Amino acid sequence: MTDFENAIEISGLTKKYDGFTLNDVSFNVPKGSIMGFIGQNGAGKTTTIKTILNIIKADSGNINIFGMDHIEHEYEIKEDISAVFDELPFHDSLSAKQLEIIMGGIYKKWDNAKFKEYLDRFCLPEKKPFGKFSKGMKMKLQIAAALSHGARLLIMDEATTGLDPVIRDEILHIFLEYLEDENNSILMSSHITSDLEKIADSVTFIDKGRLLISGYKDDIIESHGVLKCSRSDYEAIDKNDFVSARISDFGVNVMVSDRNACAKKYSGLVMDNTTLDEIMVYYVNAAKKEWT
Amino acid sequence: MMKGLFYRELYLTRKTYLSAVCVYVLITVLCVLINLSISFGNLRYLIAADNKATLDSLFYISVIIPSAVLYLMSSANFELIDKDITSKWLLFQYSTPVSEKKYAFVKIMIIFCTISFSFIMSMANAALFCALYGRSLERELLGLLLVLMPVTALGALLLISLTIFLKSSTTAAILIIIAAFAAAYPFMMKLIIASSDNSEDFTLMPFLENIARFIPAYPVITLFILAAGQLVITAILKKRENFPRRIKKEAVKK
Repeated sequence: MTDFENAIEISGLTKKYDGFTLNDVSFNVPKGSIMGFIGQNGAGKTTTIKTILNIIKADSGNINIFGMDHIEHEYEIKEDISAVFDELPFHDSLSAKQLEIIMGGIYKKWDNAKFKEYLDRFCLPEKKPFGKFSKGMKMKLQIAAALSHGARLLIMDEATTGLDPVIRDEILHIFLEYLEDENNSILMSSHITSDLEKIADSVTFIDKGRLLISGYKDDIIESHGVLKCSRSDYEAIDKNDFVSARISDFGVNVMVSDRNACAKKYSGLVMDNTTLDEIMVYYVNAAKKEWT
Repeated sequence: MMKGLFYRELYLTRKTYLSAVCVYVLITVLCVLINLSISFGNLRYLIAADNKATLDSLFYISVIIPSAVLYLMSSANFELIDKDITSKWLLFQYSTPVSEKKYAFVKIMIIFCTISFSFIMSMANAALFCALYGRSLERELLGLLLVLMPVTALGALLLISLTIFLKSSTTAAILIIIAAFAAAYPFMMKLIIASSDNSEDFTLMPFLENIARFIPAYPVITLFILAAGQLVITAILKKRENFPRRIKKEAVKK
């Protein structure tokens, strides 16, 4: 199982619903890395993740996990996967003590000592019912369970959404520790791009079921830039050179995807650095080209 | 793998089973008190000692009611499957190595165990009332206790299957109750007409004799229903989230 380059390989993934289509999505999650899966609500992130987990059947396309077909080797693969969802999927009346017995009976490689270690680290009580846990505690518990059976791949669907910055930071730190083992990988869907900016190695950006960008985070951030210009300067910019432009009373901000080329071509204009957040917003409005 | 699932099911449903046993004991005690009162207390003035038909009915009711309550309460455990859906356990489970077949098998085995336990308890109840009435365990009574096995198994499996399919135990329970009434309606009407036409001669005996004719078949039918249930629940679970109605909702939500 260690003989693979990408933890996840997705090619041509398509799933059609009434009113929504996940259209020909392809990307890879390299082994030993963390990929941020970004997109606004309804973009298709959850559908993609559910398809990866074979909860939803794709209309077409291939998904390989650890180099194996995700349907043919489903249960073998799932011994080495952990999925973390935005809500705790365990009954409120259960406690960590009971969860330990349940999960120990489900996963072959479940490690009680490791689970207890995480409980101690997260200051989670062993006997308190989950119904009395705060949202942060619930998420920590899910992560503790996810990391206690030797999973090689963590798939997280909006797992940090709704958590306060301190807990988010603590969780992100755990993920970085988890990635110290180069065989481990993470696919993390979120619309909190600041988190991904902190820890992600690569980023895949999806909107309305279509893949917009996928690549190394630093490359994406470095290749994009925001041109700050006046209305008249903006008129002179070639429409093919930019993703979209935000027009305000104070001027026009233009997102370009080839920063170096544009910096040369429009040398008189100010080129600002950009963030994943900004890139996401400008790409979402790319179809309109100009927006306010 | 099964161990974890069994533990989970039993832990989460322990209160239901406990309350089923408590209700069973309470009803049994109540029936014993009524029967003692008929034999030695005030009720003996209401029912004559030679009123065989009424005493027969009381005997059967005393045995059947607590047993039926135990069967239904312990087996019709729809609370858990409902919680499995609302707490997103089912969704989570699809991300684990637990196959639908194993999940269904655990549910079926729990139903099998509760039905077997209910049968043993109902036999104990029958023995108690046989001793109170100084009667032997008749075939008709045994038949009635045994026929509850396939009926309960069918009800429990329908409830689980429909709850997974409809994502609502309430709707599932309502549908099953309506179906049960529709199925029992012709028989109930016959009973009502027979009892109103000639109340003195009215007796359930022919009906009980008919049930007793198939005694050996009931455990076999129960096992057959459970085996069929395993296949049906597995097939429904294998659909995962590919039911069109649900997918539309999800797509809009996320």
